[in-house]
Amino acid sequence: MSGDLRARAVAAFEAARATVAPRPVHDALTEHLTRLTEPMRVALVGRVSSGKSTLANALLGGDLAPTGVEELTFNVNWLSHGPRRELTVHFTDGRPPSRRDPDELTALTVRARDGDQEHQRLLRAIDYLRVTDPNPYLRSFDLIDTPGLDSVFHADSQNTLRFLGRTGDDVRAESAAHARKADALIVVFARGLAANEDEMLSDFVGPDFGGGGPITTVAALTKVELSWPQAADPMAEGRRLAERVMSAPGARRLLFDVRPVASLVGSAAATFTTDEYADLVALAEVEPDILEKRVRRGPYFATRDYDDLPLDAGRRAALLRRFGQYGIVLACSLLRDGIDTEELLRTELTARSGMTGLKRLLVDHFGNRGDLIKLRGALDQAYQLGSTLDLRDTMSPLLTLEQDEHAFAELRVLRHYYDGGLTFTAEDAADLLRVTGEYGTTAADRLGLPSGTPPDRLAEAARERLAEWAERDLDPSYAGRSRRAVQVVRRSYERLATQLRA
Amino acid sequence: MRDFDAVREQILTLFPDLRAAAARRGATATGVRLEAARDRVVDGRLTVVVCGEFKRGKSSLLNALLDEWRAPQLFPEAGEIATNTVTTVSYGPAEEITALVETDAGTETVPIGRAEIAGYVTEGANPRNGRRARLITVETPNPKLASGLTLVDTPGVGGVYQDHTAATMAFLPSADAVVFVADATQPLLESELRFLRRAARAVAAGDSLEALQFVLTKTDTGDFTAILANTRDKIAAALDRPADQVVITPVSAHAKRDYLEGGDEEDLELSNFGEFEARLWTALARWRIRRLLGGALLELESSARALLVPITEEIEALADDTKQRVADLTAQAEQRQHRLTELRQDSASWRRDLAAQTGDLGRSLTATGQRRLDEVWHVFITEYLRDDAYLFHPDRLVGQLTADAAQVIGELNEQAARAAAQLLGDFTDRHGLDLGSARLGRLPAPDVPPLRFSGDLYQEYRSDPVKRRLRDVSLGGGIGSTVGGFLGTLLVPIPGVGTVLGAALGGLLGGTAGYRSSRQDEGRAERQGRRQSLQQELRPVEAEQRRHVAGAVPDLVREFSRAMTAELDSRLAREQETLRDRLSRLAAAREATEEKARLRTAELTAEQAPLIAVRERIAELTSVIDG
Ligand SMILES: Nc1nc2c(ncn2[C@@H]2O[C@H](COP(=O)(O)OP(=O)(O)O)[C@@H](O)[C@H]2O)c(=O)[nH]1
Ligand SMILES: [Mg+2]
Repeated sequence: MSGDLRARAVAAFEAARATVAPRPVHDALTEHLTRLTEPMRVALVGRVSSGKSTLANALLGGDLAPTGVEELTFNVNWLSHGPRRELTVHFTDGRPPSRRDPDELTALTVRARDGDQEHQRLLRAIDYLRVTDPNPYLRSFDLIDTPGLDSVFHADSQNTLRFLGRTGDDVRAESAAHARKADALIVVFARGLAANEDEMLSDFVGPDFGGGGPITTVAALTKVELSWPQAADPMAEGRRLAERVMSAPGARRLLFDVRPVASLVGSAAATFTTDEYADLVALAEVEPDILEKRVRRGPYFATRDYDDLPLDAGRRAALLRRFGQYGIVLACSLLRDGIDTEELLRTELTARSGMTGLKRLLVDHFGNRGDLIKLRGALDQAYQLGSTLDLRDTMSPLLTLEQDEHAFAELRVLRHYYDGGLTFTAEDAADLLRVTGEYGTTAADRLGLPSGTPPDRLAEAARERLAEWAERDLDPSYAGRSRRAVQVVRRSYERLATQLRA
Repeated sequence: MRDFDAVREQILTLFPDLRAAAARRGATATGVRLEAARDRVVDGRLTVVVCGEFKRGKSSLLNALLDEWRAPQLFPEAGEIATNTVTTVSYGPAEEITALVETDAGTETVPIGRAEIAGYVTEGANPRNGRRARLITVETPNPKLASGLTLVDTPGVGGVYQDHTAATMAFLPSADAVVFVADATQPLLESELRFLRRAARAVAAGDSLEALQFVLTKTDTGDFTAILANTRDKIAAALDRPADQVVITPVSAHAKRDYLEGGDEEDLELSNFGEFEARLWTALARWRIRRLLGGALLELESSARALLVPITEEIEALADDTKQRVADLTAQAEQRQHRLTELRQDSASWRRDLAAQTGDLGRSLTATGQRRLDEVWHVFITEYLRDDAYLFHPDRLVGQLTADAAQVIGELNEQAARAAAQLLGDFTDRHGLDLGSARLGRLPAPDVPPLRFSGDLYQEYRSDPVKRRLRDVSLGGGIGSTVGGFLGTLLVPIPGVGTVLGAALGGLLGGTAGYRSSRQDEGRAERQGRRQSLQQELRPVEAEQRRHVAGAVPDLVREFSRAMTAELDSRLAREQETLRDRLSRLAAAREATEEKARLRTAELTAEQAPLIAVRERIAELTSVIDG
């Protein structure tokens, strides 16, 4: 169905383009056409050092984005799917893009050290870095890692320059610009970076983030592993905080959901080596209380010799850097509890770090509706062209497309729902999300049935739902916008039922 | 710390003997001054304000500093949410905790139990400060506080709790040490560095920059060498100091707690609290302790002299049987008596002179205040309006401007206090009002004493001024002035001044509390348009601030001027007392027979011995704190 939509959209844009001579409208429409066939772009945005790069690595299971406790990501990293790892630098000053050795990524991304003028000049001329990688996860969408949203005052730009190699205003502006170009956002909140939920959310108010809303925005709450050992189960603590965020006023209009992640643990889980696995196995032999006591004294764990600990301090230091305190303790407890292969440990740590859940959410929420979201954006931008010029003929195929595609009606209902404009019950809302593809686009997904459900059972379920929604259509308690929404959902089930009958 | 405690204890032991001597001699004025000076040492506050961004570990640091680790905690630690009120902790014989709560009718102070603190101060239990606690004051019998330490925990530097940020900025200049907290798990953000630059300026308005201390918390989490260097470089750049002059103490509150709980020395070592405390006390000693203890030594010295001079004169007079010496001394004393009578008159020229000098001070402070506000509003145009974080959050913008203006008031207050101490010293020298309070060593001019005198005697004087002052805070002028007044009385040594400062702060807060920009909800209007209309809209706020600052200065100066006059009058009263003693002794000496003189001299020599010994002790202790 998604493929059909794309084909119809391409046809409509081509028809629109045919009505105008080349340039400038023609070119703009061509650009939209190209975008329609490209993967969706998802940008990671958040304050400086909120853990965006660590999260990118955890999502992709590699060291694509450079990270470190003190490093500030300095340039935008655009990660997309490709047959092999390649790095291309794009410049702001009109220079042609240049191919670089992928190993240079860190040097080109992180802030310049004091003194290296030449390198700083290069960094400042960079618009973004394009990285391709065969990671299958990048098939669902491109991932754009941005430096951060903290701004800096002009008076201090000299000082700041020494650190960033450019002003914070630039960094913010650049992050925001790339966020605007993206189709969807992963907002990254770091545990402990804001006073409260309102403050967290308020970073995303302003012209740069106004438009998205829950359809195109989900959030990750990072660094939850740092609440260990205060919290024996940091993920549970993270879930509590995530709930608080979502119950803050306005949150549901901004975000679809917030998921807690121990991203450092997640990224280590995805990338640990056989040697590291062996080191963890050795540590797991240590009496749990002793291990915890030693790990809690982080700097000593990484530097001192102890009779009751295996591994030399250097190896322990490396583990601590990669897994963090909670990661080590968690991995060792999993190993003690019977996990006995690298792969099992990888899977379990990924799940325990919240990464499995977050990845699923991203694929569901963005991946399933990717084309529609992109198309919606393209249409809105195309209409803007028409707002200054008289382009009635040009717009007509696009307007027809929008009119005819039921998916747009669904999207509108979703928007109204997120804006709080519908009198839907929780049950109504669950149906709405499901039937519009939130949890997958197969008929079974849209009906909330397990995959492999036989076709006649699916058809029956669709008819049942249709009957229920037809009843709601007669229910006088749904009025105005809600009533129109009911009709759209009813129509969605009708289409599903028809499709299943065929 | 131990040094301070020891010297302080030794100084306190000098008071009882002198007071007993004064009582025996009927030297009421001397006795009262001694009592007041002793109480100033006992009540003397060393305020340490801990500040930094939310969740950096400020509360945990304070718990660890006080060896507090059992639940319920004095400074609740925020797992997910931050502390949202200012908390002050000082010594008290029994634990007493008070919450200042805002009610519909105004404010009310509620005595609460330790377990209830968390409910008032953290967002978790008290979302968006629903119970509207504005201040928690704790007195507790913690030995670490016994020598007069007051610790102040502040919420954070962000924009949510505007009046707390403003109050923090207003009181930073009078803090004796400020601890800025950075976090080993989180590189310093630009917003924190911005705050740091302001804080450094506020601190510099009062103390030397050494009063600003830096710690890096949460060092138990792993290797912190990189983040320590990163933090040092950033602080150095922000404050324009060479990196090697930025001293950051790495600490772990959790390791300290683990040590308190389990007793393992390695935890104590990792916590590094030994070094932290040592540095903190060094910072305090550099200025505040010298003034606090120096002031006490000065008063001891002048009282000892006031008691001693009549005796030594009498001995001298008795030793000369030609009676020439007694005639000379009597003439001197009578001459002095004549001068003193002049000085004590309401029309005495020093009073006019003091009025003129404080008038000058007021004018110069007013000019400074307006100049500082020029700077604030310049920054508003050149920086704030260019920053989306303010441009699209006008409430934050107003909060920041309010904090900036509050800082100006705090700076003015501290400058006034410094200037007043200086003025009192110079003035004393110039008008011959010295009256035996010779300067000691190189000790700084002591603070103007906080108490008012009327005539020869102190007015009602109680030895628990903090609590009394708290009750005296005027509750008019809205919540802002109440919070300001409370903090003022707690943190500023001069009660009247603290209240003035609090009221000024309150006015400032009150002026903008109801401010809601019409642009607030406008969403995405373009930047230039927003800039222009905000500039327009905030003009009244600027005018209001200028009015407040202009109005606060005369109030401040008046309070200081009253305190100075009272102090000088009190010194005159003491000298009058001494003179009376001198004259009557000289009269007796004139009449004394040779035989009587011999006996009397022996008596007097015995009487003066302990006083001489006290003066020797004073000299020794002076060199200790002066050294
Ligand atoms: N690992 C570690 N965590 C700490 C330490 N001190 C504070 N924290 C944690 O940091 C968070 C914020 O601490 P808190 O003292 O409430 O910060 P405040 O908002 O600055 O007062 C809490 O989750 C604490 O448990 C420390 O020394 N080590
Ligand atoms: Mg706190």
